[in-house]
Amino acid sequence: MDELLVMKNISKDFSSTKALDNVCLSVSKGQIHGLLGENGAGKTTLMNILSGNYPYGSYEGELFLRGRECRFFSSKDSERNGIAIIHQELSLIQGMSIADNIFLGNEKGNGFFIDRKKTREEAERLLRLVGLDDDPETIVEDIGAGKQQLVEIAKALSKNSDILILDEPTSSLGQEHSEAVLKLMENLKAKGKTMIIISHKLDEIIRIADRITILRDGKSVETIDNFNKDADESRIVRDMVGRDINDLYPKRDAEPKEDIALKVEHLSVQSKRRKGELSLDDICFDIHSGEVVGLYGLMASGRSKLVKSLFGKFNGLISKGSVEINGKRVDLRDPRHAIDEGLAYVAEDRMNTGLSLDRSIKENMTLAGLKKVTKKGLLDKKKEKGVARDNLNSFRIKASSYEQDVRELSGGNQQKVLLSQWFYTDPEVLILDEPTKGIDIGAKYEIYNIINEYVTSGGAVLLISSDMNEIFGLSDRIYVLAEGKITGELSREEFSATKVMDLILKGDKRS
Amino acid sequence: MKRILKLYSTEIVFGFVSLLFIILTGAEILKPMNITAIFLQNSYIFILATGMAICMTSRGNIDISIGSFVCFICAMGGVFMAVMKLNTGFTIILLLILGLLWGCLSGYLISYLKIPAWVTTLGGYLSFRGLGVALINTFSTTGSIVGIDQSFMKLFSGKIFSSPIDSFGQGSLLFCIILAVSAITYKLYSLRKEGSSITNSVIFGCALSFAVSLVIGVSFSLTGGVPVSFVWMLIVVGITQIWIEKSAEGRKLIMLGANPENARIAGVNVKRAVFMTYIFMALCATLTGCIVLSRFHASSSYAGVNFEMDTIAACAIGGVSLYGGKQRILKAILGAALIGIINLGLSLIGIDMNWQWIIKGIIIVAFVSFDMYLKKDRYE
Amino acid sequence: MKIRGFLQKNYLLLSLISITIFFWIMSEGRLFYYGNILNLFQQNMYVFILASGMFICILTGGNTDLSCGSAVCLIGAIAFRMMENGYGGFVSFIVMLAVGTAIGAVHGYLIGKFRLPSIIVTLASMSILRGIANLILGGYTLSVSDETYLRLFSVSDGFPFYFVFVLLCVSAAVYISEFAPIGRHIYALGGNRKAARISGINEVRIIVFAYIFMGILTAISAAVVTGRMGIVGPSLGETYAMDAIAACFIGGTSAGGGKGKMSGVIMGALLTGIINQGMSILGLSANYQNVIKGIILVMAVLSGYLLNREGEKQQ
Repeated sequence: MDELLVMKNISKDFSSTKALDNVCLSVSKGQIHGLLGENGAGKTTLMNILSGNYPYGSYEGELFLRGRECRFFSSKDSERNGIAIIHQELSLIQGMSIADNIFLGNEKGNGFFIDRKKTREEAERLLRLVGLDDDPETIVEDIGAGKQQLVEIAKALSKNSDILILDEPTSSLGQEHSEAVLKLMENLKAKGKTMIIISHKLDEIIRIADRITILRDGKSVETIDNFNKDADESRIVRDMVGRDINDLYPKRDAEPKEDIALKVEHLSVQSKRRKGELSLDDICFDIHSGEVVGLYGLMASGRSKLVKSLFGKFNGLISKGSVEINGKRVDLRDPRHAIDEGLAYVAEDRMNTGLSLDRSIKENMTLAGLKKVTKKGLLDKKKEKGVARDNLNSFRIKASSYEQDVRELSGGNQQKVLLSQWFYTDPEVLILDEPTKGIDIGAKYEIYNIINEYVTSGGAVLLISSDMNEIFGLSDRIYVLAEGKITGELSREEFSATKVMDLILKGDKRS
Repeated sequence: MKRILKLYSTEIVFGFVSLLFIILTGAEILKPMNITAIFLQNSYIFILATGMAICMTSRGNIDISIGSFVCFICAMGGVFMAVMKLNTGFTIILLLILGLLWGCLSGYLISYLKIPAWVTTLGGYLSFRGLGVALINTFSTTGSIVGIDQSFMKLFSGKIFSSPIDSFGQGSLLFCIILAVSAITYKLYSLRKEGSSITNSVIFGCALSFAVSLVIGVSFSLTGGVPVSFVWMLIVVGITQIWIEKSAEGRKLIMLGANPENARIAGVNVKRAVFMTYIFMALCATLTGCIVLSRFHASSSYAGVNFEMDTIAACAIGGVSLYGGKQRILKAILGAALIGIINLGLSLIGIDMNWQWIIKGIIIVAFVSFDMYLKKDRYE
Repeated sequence: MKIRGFLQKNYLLLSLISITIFFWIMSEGRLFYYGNILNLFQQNMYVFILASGMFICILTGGNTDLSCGSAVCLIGAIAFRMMENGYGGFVSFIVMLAVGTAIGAVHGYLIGKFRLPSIIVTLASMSILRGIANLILGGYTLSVSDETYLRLFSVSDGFPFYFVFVLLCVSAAVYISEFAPIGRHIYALGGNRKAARISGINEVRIIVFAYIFMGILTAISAAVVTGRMGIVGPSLGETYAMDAIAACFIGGTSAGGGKGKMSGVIMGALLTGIINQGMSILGLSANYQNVIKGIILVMAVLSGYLLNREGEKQQ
């Protein structure tokens, strides 16, 4: 087998977590290789190593292209060796034309003057290749996200690479545009291009990949052949998600109560980027007191949008719907209102959004609930210190003192500080967005206990997690979100990975 | 070692440079007359630096229009009192309104419309000086408007506890001592109330402050009293320091500066907070304008020249970071004092004014670079 | 709706025309005397040159150079002192270019490599350079008598070299922004810094380039301005930075970088020049001129911002 690319025993550490653990990947010429895995499985890290973003020396293992070992120190290096990567986030310059974007960094001309004619011709050719007939002089911000993704692909194609890496190419696209991208990939393969595609979307990968490698928790679980496009879905799901739900999830005695803490009815939110479409479509769900409701969906299913719209983010775009907390209809136009009505939002990105890293633990803990330590506009510092001290204890946060900068804590402890910040607001409904991302097992268990305590005393929790085990272990009920719609609800007895994936695929296929 | 450098950079530089000037001026600078002069001549920096420090607390916001605005306020004050013959009280109210208006305008443009601060305040920098000078030229032929109300001048300049020059004015010394003691007592009291321990460094700080206030008090006593502008400065700095340390709004501003996105999710009204800082800055500039007007007994077209440079230099020395977070107002004050010392010291030595410009410019760049270097991890 | 679209696209040209007409009427036609038009150009050459450089700097991401006025004074002072001491006009000009380049390089390095805010750096250098200039001048106003220098840079009889210089500078900026690959990189950096870096664009190189370009143009400005006036005084260049910035913003350059065209900047410079000239003819003192310029500056940025928002909302 002539393997075009071989990645052998790749390992990479990020301070406390092992992002990749002896991962092996081999891609044959002219094939489409699919890379599947949950969030945090290591897919993007692996591709960053391949594309040179993580330079040689920052990882262990070897990279072989056409049999020769390669050491890349920058993305330019990998480009020169024939590897082009299309990143997950759109990296187009919105204010510039399509043609300029395609050739950014590789301008056509003699180095002093840009050859406008050649730029235009080449751009047109590339655009046709990807199935677009737009005028290359069109400014990028005037075309939709779907087309922009195709332009990104055109840009990668302009580099005449041997291997094209596509990182989640369809994750922010609707049905029609995803189709276009997949068809394009099939066309390119017919022309002899080798591709690696990273995706969550099981059905898409099964449809176009010749071989599929599944990663989980930084390890390559297995690589299966898919030449006949008939791979066993459930087998893949099991690989992705893991077989056993270990005893990691502490038992909870309480039963959900009758009263409904949070009720969302017919919530629809318009999409900012895809005009005329809805990013959230007729969302209805409820959470009882004393209950944990899990929300599962793949990336771009709309789950973070849902949560953020509860916290006032998409205020101008809500086209209809209502939210009730404890039976009272509430106005959630900005975070202040949401907090006052009893919502708490533990953000997914604790470092950038959730916490102020350069401030003390104490200051972070009281921020959302500052009202409670304020008397007549002045801070009651003694009370604040008391709160901090209590929190350090009850949340078992390992720190030298509450005056320490949050930056100095470990991930698990940081997350606990974040949790304590929101618990301090005495919320009616606690929204947890990836609460244990990047945290070690011990800390995870402690956090689960904290959540259980809260729920047992009557709190309501909306849990978002891309770790299916975690959702199964904690939730009483699960809603599945796909393409901005709630496609189904599962009660505890019905929890199973297959059922969840079915509901997701049901949303994707739109038959 | 790096940590000490980071925490006490301002104090270290202050001590070092002061020592340098003591040597260079042959201890002239320690004379009572000169120590008093530091405060008399540079009260503007103290007040403006306080305002600027608050402004900078909110991530990347500065205000380079302050010097020109001071000139404008001076001019307007002159027009109100000397030309329109309005009384002191009325004038002060009108000037305050002007300050509020500019603060609201700049705050609105910068915070709500998101026009970059440098552009907006650049516009102010241009317009206000022009307006001020135009007013002065309209209403006088000498290049300054004279005839300021006596009561206005008494309110913003001159001295309290005044005493004849040759004698020793115990009132001033007593005043400073009482002030120092009350401040120290208050600090110790609030530390106890908060439940913090009184560490050695706190005691050292108190002792140092007491010693310094003694020196200042003696200087004032020997030079005819406590300058009114000094009192104003104490009021502004005191209120600001207390506000930012102890009030909820102050805490919100600090957290907003450290991480605006976080603050927003935690319910802080970011836009309004930034808006308020610009109002505060404008009010500081207004007060400064009144003080400058009183000090010179006239509106002058040269009022406020280079104030923004001095203020930014003071903040830079004080470690006030353009990228937000908690600013120690007191450090900015120390920075302002240092600029005052540099100003005075250089003229005592007899060095060209131009060297002052050069040195201050270099100071700004050096300190900002240093700050960037220390806080590298905070930036992208 | 159509009218609004037309207004949006051509507001610059329309403002230019209306303001010109305004001053023409107010000055009772004096505005258009040949002498005045020539005067307009000669007195505002520095706006065209400095705005061209400032434009490139702003494009990189809202970076500015507040020190260009002080730099002009300094560079002029150095040249005049040299010529006083017997150095030829040509040699002096070379030195001027070198000094300009050096200043630009320092700026570029501090702002590009160390990521210091451009406003602080150039505010500081504005002070530093003015101080050095004053020291060199020693409080005097120097004059020049070197024949070569005068022939190259003065506006009296002889081949109008000064015009060629202005043309050169403006053309260079047009070339960079429209035709050169580095121009695309500059627009990209200003438009979306993260994406530009992903595309392999070397941010430090671009910013250093922009500021060195500005430095060279500053030196050329110094030459033509001091050549025309024949003297260098301590207050030379005080308003230059503002004029250049105003010209850029009036010309539709976005304050955050990544958007703007030289055609707009040229019109903005023209407008600034006409305003300057018009106000002088009307006898307005420099102070009122400053006030108006300050207001125009903010209004230009404001309208640029509002127009963009309007565009977005309509979609």
